Amino acid sequence: MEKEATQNATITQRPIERKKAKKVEVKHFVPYLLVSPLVLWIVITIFIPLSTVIKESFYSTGFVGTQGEFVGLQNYINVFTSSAYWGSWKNSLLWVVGNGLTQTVLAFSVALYLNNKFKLSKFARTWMIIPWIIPTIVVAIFWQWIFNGSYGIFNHVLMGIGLIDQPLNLLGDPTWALPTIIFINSWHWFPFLAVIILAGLAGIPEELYEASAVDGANKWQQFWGITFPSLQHITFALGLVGTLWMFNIFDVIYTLTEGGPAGSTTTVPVQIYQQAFDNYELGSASAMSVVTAIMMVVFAVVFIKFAAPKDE
Amino acid sequence: MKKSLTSLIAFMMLLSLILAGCGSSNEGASSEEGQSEEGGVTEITLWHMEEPPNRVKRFNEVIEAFNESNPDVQVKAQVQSWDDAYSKFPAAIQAGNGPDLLFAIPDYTTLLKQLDVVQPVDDIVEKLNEKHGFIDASLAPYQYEGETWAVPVFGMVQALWYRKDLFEAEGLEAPTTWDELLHAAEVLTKDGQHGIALPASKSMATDQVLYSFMVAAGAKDLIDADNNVTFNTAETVKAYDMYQQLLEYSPRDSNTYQWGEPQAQFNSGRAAMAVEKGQYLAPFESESGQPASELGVVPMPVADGGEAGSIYYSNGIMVLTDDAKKQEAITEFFDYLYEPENYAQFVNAEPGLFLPVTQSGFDSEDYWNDPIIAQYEEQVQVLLEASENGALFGFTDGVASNIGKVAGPNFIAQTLEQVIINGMSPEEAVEWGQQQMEEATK
Repeated sequence: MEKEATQNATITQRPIERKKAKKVEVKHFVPYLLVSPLVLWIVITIFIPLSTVIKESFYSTGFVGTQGEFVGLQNYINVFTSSAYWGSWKNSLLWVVGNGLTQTVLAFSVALYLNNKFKLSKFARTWMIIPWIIPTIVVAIFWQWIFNGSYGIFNHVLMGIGLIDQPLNLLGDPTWALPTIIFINSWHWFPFLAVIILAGLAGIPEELYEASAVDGANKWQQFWGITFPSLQHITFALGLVGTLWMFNIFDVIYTLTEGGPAGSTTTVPVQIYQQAFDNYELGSASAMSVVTAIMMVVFAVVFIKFAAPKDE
Repeated sequence: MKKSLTSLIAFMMLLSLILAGCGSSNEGASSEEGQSEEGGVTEITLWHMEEPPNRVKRFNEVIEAFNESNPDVQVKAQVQSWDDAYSKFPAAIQAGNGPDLLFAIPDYTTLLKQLDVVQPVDDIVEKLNEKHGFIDASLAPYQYEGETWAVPVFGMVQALWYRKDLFEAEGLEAPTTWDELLHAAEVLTKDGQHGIALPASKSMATDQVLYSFMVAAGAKDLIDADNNVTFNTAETVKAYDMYQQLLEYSPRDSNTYQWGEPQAQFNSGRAAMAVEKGQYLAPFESESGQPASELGVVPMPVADGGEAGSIYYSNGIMVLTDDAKKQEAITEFFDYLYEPENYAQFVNAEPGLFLPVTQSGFDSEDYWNDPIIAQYEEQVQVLLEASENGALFGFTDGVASNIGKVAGPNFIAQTLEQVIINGMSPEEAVEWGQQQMEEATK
C-alpha cells in the first residue's frame, strides 16, 4: 500500500517538476525583457556616443564625418600639454564657484523670506520662479541688450544718475566679462534652487522653532541649529548636481560671449566645442572630453564620499 | 549574481553591436538609396543657408517657377543654418541624409571635399561660362586639383560706407587713402558720434573687415597653395596698426561687434563710416530716416604703397550626387537659373549684397530694374567696380587646402585681440598670429 502510494506520488510529481523547470526558464528571461527598453535607451544615449568619443580620441580626425589616422595617445599628450585647455579649467572653476556662491546666497535669502507668511506670499512664490522658466536664449538676448555698451539701459541709467561718465563694456571687458555672465546665469538659475530649499523648509516641524525660542535661541542660532542641519540632504544633492550642472553649462556662455573677449570666458565645454568645430580638431576635442569626464566622475565620487550627510 | 551581471553585460554588448551595425555607412549622399524617382520625376534636394525670410521667399519663387516649367524635375529647397554647416552637415552627408545640392563658400568647399562626396562640376561650369561668362574672381576659389568644385552663384564685396550728411556737415570728402580715412574718423568723432564703427570681436565679421585692410595694405597673401603661412609681413603689421588706430574712433564696445552692430550704429547716425558688404542698401532709408542719396560708398581706401582692393568672395553651389539621372536634372536646373531674367530674380533676393557673377547677369535689365538696385544704382556700380579688385584669404596665392584651419578659429581676429586686449604691439601680435596659423595648418 505504501509502495503503491509512493509510486503514485512519483508518477504525479514528474509532470509538476517539468512544469516548474519550464517556468524557471521563462522567469530567467523576464527581468531582461523588462529592463531591455531601458538598456536599449542607455546604450543608444550613453554607451554608443561615449564609446564613439573614446574611439575618436585615439584618432587624428579633423572634421566630423572624416576618418582620421590612428595616433595612439598623441591626442592625450596634446591635451595634457595644452595651455588653452588648462586655462579653460581655471575659468570653469571660477565659473562654478562664482555661480555656486551667488546662487546659494540668493536662493537661501529668497527661500527663507518666502517661507514666512505674509500678504501676497503665494503670489511672490509663483512669480519668483519666472527667471528660471525663461528660455536661456531669451535670457542671453535681453541681458545682452541691458548691458550693451552703446545703447543698453544699464549704462543709460548709470550715466543718467551720474555714477559713470563713459559706458561700461561689461561683456567686452576681459576683467568684467566672467563676473557679468556669472551674475546673469545666477539670476537665471537661483529660483530653481530657491524652490527646492523652500520645499525643504516646509518640511521642518514648527515645534522645533517654538521650543528653541522658549530656550532663548535667536534667529541666527535657529538657522544654524535647526534650519541648516534639516536641509543637509538637500544641500548635499544641490552641491553635487548643481556643481556638475554648472560645470557643463555651455549655451548661455556661448550666446553671450562665445568664450571671449580674448578667452576670458572660455570654460571647458566652450573650449571643447571650439576645438571640435572651430579648430577642426575632433580627435583632440574627444580626448579633452574623455579627460574632463573622468575628472567629473572623480569629483562626484570624492564629493559623495566626503560630503554625503551621515544618517544618525 | 555574478552570472546575471555577466549575462547583462553580454546582452548590452550584443545590443550595441547590433545598433552599431545599423548605424551610418560611409557611402555619402551619392549612394543609390539617394536616388528618388517617383513616376518619372527626378527629385533634387537643395540645402541653402540663407535664412532671412526675404531670401527664403525669393529662392523658393525661382525654384517653384523652375519646377513648374520642368515637370520631370522637382527641386526641393531646404533652409539650413550656417551654424550647422561645420558641425552637423558632414555627419548627415556621411549617413546618406545629405542634399544633392549644397550652398558653399570657398573655404567650406575645401573642408567638405575631405568627405569625398563633392562632385566636379567642370562640364556644367564650362557650358554656363560659354553662354553667360563667369567673372574670373568668382570661379577661381573653386578651381584646384585640376577641377572645379562648385558653381559660383553670387558674389559679395566689401567697401567703405559713409554718411554723406555727416561728411558734408564737416566739409569732408569721401576718403580714398588711409591718411584721409584716419583724418575723417578723427574729425567725425565728437558729441557722442563716432567716426567709424568696426567689428573687433573674435568673429568672421572681424576677420573679413580686417582682411579688407590687409588687402589695401598689400598683404592679401596670407597662406600659399602649399599651406605655407605668409602672414607675418610688414604690410600685415601696417594693417593691424591702422585698425588699432581706427578703433580709437569706433565705439568702446567694438570688441563685442560682429555683423549687425556697425550697421546699426551707421544707420542710427552714431557712426559716420563702416566697412561692409552690400546689405547696407535695403534698410538704409527706413532705419536712418535719410534719403537713399545720403548713403555714400567708395572702394576701400588704399594705404601708402598698398593696392586697391578688399575682400571679395563668391558663394557657390556644390553637387554632392553622382547619380547620372540627377546630375542631368541638376544641369537643367543650372541652365534655368542662369538665364538672365531668372538669375536677376534670384540674385536680388538680397539686393546689393548678392552681386551677379556672370556677365549676362551684370548686363541684364532685369537685374537693374529691381526697385532697390534701381534706387541705389550708383552705389551698386561702386560695389561691382570693387569686385574687380577683390581677394579672399587662402585663395590669392593658389588655393590653400588648410585655409579652413585659419578661418575656423578666426586667427585674423584673434591676432587683433592680442593687440587691443592683451596689449601686444602690432608686430608682436602678427608674429603671434603667424605662430598660431603655422601650428594649426601643419
